[in-house]
Amino acid sequence: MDAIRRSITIQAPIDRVWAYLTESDKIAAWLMPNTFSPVAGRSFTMDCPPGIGSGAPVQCEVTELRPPTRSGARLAYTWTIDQPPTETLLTIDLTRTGDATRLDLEHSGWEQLGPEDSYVRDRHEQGWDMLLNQRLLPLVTGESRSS
Amino acid sequence: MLDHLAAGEMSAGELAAKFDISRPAVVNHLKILEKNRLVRITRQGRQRMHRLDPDGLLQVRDWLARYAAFWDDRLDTLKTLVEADHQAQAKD
Repeated sequence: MDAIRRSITIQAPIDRVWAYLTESDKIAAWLMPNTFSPVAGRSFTMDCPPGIGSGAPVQCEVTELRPPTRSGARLAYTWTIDQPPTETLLTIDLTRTGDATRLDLEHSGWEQLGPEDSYVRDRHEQGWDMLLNQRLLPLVTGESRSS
Repeated sequence: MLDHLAAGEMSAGELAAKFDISRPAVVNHLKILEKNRLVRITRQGRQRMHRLDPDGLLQVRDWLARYAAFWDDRLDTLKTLVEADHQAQAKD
């Protein structure tokens, strides 16, 4: 299933962008109040603002933490919402582009949205995947943009 | 399955005829879809009829749409913050 994808270019060095992804107070400045700490495997919560999900804190766990190297950087954490019960994955890749930094965000795992029964993942149940993939997701991500 | 129901309401038997899976499997799947508010099941005489639950489908769509818009908004904020921070640092 397709993910929500967004890409932006930030006119700043990669280390500065990385700080805003991995320091709790800096994350709070652009994303949400949180209990993030930059340790792989560490659980934390994000305080969800009204209008997103149920409003309950998002349960997260750091799954990948690769600080900036010559090739780039990557941060990934799970993003579990209680209503509807869904564990999604947020992956942020940083790439050096001259003096700037390209940021690619991917919010994936939407196939778990809806029936949590493993039965759904049966290969016969392509109807469900098809509906979400080809009907529902384009409706909401059709306006995808790169800047 | 939801795609077939988009054409109109159907019984489990009618739906099963369209798939290469057993009728009990179809019934089981329909129950899951009902639990997740994607399908409404109504009893008509001895038959159970199934149709799409527009409320549930719209809720899922709204929810995804909100997240898509959310990331646009937050990434704009991130870009503004980091660039301002970098410029302030560069001046020092």
